[in-house]
Amino acid sequence: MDVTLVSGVPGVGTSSVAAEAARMLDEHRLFNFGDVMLEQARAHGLAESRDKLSDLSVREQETLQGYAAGYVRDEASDGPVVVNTRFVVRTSQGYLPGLPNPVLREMAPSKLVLVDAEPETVAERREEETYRDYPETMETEVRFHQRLERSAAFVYSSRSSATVHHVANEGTVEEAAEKLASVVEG
Amino acid sequence: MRLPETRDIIVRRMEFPVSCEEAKEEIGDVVIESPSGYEETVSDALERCGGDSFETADELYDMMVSGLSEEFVGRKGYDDRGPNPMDDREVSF
Repeated sequence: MDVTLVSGVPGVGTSSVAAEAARMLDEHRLFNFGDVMLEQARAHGLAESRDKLSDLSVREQETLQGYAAGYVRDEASDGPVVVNTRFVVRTSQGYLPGLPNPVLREMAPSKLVLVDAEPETVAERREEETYRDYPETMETEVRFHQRLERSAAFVYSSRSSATVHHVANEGTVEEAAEKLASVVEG
Repeated sequence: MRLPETRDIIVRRMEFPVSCEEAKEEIGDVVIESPSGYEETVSDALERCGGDSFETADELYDMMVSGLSEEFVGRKGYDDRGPNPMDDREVSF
């Protein structure tokens, strides 16, 4: 299996960078871990929308993560995949690991990519975003979440042997996407 | 295809911003299958978007999700595909 997991704190632009990179990649298909969790949450009457996922119980979220991991594994058996996910999830109950051990084992990633930017940049992007509601835009919260994401990446690496890669998204989306595509294909 | 698979199609085929009609024209014939096997097209899911336009793939995707029929929405605690994975007694990691 060839699985690349891509993450970044909300507002850093991970979705845009991953989407642009997907257009540069011929063989890799792009999945969004949250899409799979949402599909299953709706199928089980747990949440109607993406925003409601973070209000689910820890147990329900772990179960949905397990579903999503199995889905990714199945899709990855058909060809290489890039998965936009969260290494650390902010929920209404606190921060949670996005990839608990069973989830990490199931997906068996070969690469872990962190899309990153300065906390000030992320905070500005959150304030400019009109579609998504972010719980906080304070730089201190962004900085804290980024530290958790970086720590989580290395913990996941030590548990899976996946390599960790950094993609800065301070310039244009295309520049960051080229770097991501290069990491994925490398 | 299952709903999460449409993400890749959206980002590859669409240029944003995109109108609802343009989205239907480009990917409207894609058939989405629910986890229980029910099928409908992207056009069906976007039936209600009318004159809307979408700035990002997330906006379009979420509109599709909200426009899918009741067949894609289950009742809490119920699963007609066998053992219920949301039941704590049935789940282990």
